[in-house]
Amino acid sequence: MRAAASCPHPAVRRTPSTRPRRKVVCDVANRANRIIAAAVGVTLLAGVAACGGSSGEESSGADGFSASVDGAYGAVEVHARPERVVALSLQVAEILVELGIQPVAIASSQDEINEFYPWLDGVFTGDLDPELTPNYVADPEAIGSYEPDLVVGNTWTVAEDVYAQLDGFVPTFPGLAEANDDWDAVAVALGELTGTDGQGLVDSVAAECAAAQERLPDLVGGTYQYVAAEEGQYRFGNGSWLECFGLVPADNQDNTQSTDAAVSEELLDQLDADVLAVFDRIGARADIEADPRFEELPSATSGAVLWLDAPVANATNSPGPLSHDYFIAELLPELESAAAEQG
Amino acid sequence: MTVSRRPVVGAPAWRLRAGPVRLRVRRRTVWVCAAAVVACLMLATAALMLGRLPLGVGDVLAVLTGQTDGFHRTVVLEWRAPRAVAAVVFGAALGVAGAMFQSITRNALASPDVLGVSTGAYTGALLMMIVAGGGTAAAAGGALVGAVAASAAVYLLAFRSGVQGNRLVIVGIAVTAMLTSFNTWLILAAELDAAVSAAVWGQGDLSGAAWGGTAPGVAVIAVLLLTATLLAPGLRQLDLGDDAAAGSGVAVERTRLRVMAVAVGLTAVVTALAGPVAFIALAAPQIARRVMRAPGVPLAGAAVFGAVLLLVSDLVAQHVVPTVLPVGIVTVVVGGSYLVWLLIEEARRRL
Amino acid sequence: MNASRTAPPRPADGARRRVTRFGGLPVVLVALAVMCVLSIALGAKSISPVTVVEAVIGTAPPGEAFVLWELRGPRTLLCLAVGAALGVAGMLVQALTRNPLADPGILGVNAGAALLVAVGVVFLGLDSIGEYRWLAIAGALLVTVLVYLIGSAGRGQIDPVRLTLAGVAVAAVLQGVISALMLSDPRSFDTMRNWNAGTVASRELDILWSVLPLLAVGMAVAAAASPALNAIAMGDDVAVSLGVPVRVVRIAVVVAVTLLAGGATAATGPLVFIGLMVPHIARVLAGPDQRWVFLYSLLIGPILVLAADVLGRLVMRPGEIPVGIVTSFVGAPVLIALIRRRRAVAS
Repeated sequence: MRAAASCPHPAVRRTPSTRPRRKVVCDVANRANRIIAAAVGVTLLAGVAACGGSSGEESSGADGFSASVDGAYGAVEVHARPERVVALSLQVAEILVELGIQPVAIASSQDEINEFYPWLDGVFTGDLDPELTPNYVADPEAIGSYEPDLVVGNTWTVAEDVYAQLDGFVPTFPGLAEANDDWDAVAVALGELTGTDGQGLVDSVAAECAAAQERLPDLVGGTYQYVAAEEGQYRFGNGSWLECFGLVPADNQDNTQSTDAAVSEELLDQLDADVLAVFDRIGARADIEADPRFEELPSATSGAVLWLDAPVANATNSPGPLSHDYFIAELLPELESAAAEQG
Repeated sequence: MTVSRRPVVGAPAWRLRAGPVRLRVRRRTVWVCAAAVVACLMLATAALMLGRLPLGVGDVLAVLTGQTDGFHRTVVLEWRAPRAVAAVVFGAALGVAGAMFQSITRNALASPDVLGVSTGAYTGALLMMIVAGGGTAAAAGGALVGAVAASAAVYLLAFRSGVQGNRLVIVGIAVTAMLTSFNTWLILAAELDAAVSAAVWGQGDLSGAAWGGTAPGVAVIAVLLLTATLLAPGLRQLDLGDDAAAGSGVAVERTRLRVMAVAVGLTAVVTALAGPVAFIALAAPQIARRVMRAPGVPLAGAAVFGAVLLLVSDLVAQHVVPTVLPVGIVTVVVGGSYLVWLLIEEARRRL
Repeated sequence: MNASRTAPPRPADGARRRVTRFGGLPVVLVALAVMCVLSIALGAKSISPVTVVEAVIGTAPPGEAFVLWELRGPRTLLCLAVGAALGVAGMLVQALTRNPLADPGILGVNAGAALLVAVGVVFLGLDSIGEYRWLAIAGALLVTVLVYLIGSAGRGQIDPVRLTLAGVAVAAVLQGVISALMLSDPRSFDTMRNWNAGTVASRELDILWSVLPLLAVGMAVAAAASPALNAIAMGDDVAVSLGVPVRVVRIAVVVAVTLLAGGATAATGPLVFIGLMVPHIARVLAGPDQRWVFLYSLLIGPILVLAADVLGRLVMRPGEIPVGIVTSFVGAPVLIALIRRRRAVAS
């Protein structure tokens, strides 16, 4: 937290990050501005964060709450229980809601929720404001207009430069170091930052997955592949969500989403996992089923080919707790009948 | 420095003398530049006032003179000011780079982009963002390396006992086409979130402008612009053609290489920090030339019009269109429309 | 832009030129045949030549037969049609604008097709080629007409330089609009990034049938117009004095380019560089006579597209690279080698 730099008490100094700092040059050049910003930030946060009040006090706020977690660009610290949280993605928003914190504003729109995230309809009481992240980049002014005491985003919306803009003004959690955070690690971190039970939430979703697995005794331990149909090839998506059903990745399943994680349509026979999930973005289902090799796939003979539409595909993409509920409800019946077929 | 108002042949002009440097400045040039600078200041003030939190002139002045603390100060000094400064300086840099390039190729449609600067920068940034998974600082570094490497490759591939303008352009087009394809593939093969972020960068966007990047960028650009003014006399000779320039004692090849290096440097720095902002380099020199009625492509005019153009485009991108857009989209539409208008206007006049 | 004039054939060159012209033809035809065979035989899936022969006589396993006839067959045909169309369109545009660096995109074909595709994707929710191909054709036609009108505004005559400028300007404006539409939501972005790549994979034959009439008409017009282009290459005044109806020929050429490049782009998305590249190789083999350049462009276009497609299937196995990405990697080095070899490009 940049504002803390001017706090007289050593306990509230910016904790050195364990990650290498990439912006050394910028930091040097920015020192003068940082001092200004620090002064501004301190004044602004005085009431909220109770930072740098009188020296010698505890670094915690009035309610004795204080927390720090390692974010993507360094430590994120709060010194009072956050009450006005701005969520810059729907994924963190649903985690926050399940932790019992309604964000004051969420970077989304009702249209987006209706079309792609139907299970989040009516979940939020805060403002849905697409202008928080115009062009997928966080806008400090729009965020500032909600007078937040915590901003939660991910590394896409809060890049380093945007983080530098926000950091001195309001504690900002830009996601964890990894680009595609596992939702459970984010939930634990957010639980710590907001003084709520992140691990409890993770456990409850794990219990849901366990319950689903109990209904699929014959599929558990089977292999999965998750691909998106493209023109001419199948691109591997991150299929780790299928592990909720007790499945394990097939040998050629590539969950890294690297640029070469794809197989040509000529190699349809390589999609031979027990469960095959296909995000059919381009309406290729009829063409794929016309290939004589399709019927011979293990997943096709047992009826374990899952054709995902856009909402289900979104629910499985970096899923949060409510997304888990949704894709389990959508896909479990199909998997159950496939398991019955196999058993 | 002395200013004499002796009338000279041709357009009314002032002669400036400072030691060994003699300059003949056309009066229209001075007036137009002055007007553009004033416009620039007014637009910059507007940029500091407009936003989600609308501020009056008084508020902005209070912040600038240090009479206000708090949120206003953060908004104006930390969030809006670096963006406005970036728009002005980057715009000027692109304008000058375009003018230099149009002079050495004597082609109104040439810009440093022909050398693959923007495309190379995009390739570098994409590799850092998508393949290496780096953030914005890494992207800026990648862009810088990519821009310089691509333009060096074009220059070397086009070099055969000298660089002939036409060959340079063709090799530039070929290399740019290859890099463009590669970029398209990187975007295509990337995970959607990464691809969208990279594509926004690829449009040219000032929304990430913070002092951390803008301040060093401004310093480097200032040095390059100074170098550009030193090269100006030789450049004016090149504008008349290689033979004429050689005849008046200009080392053509060396001057051309130096001019290109500076133009590429300016473009590369801007592109590293703001992404490939299109059309400013192309349009600013041409607008300046027409408004100033100058015979060649004026550097100073290109600078001020570049600044005004990028500042206006950024204001439009932020506040005028219904959704906020990356500024590069606006510059392309504004620049392209201007060119269309120009064509129609010329046709109308000829009737 | 540098307006260039292709010089009329010099008599001293004639004999040697005729030898290259005729001698080159069998070489090009053989190369084309070889590429067709390779395009059937090679791909991400290794299929032995024996199996290929079995597939021809109908005894191959159904999986292999499907890959050969249903996947590689249609894309080979599409490569042939699109390559020929783009090659000829490029030759026409370069002759029309007297600019050896012009490509069909300069008339706004790509930008127009992409614009209406983007509109369909964003506002109508379309997401596959089968749904938006008609929009692509319509966009290509509309924008070409617009560029033509701006380029010829005033005297109702095409000035090559103005046409080039108009094309660049209009394409830039449209590109801005397309980008804005593309960034409007992730789904549109996803669809448009696939369109931008340009591919012949997974194309049903009915895509080819739906553009084939356009290509056929365009090709006929091009064939009829190319003899007159020789006269136009010598300058409008000379052409007029030779009794060539310059204006009619120019309009015919614009129509042909629109149909050829528009039809090709609608079927595959933008395949960059083919239209720019092919006429350069054709001129090396055929000399300046536009009738011969036409013939060679017609044959070399498919060779280049097929080569790019086969390469795209092989270099990233088990995945593929769309042909539109590979075309410039095949074409650009050739262009650079040509420009370095020749003392000066026609300019």
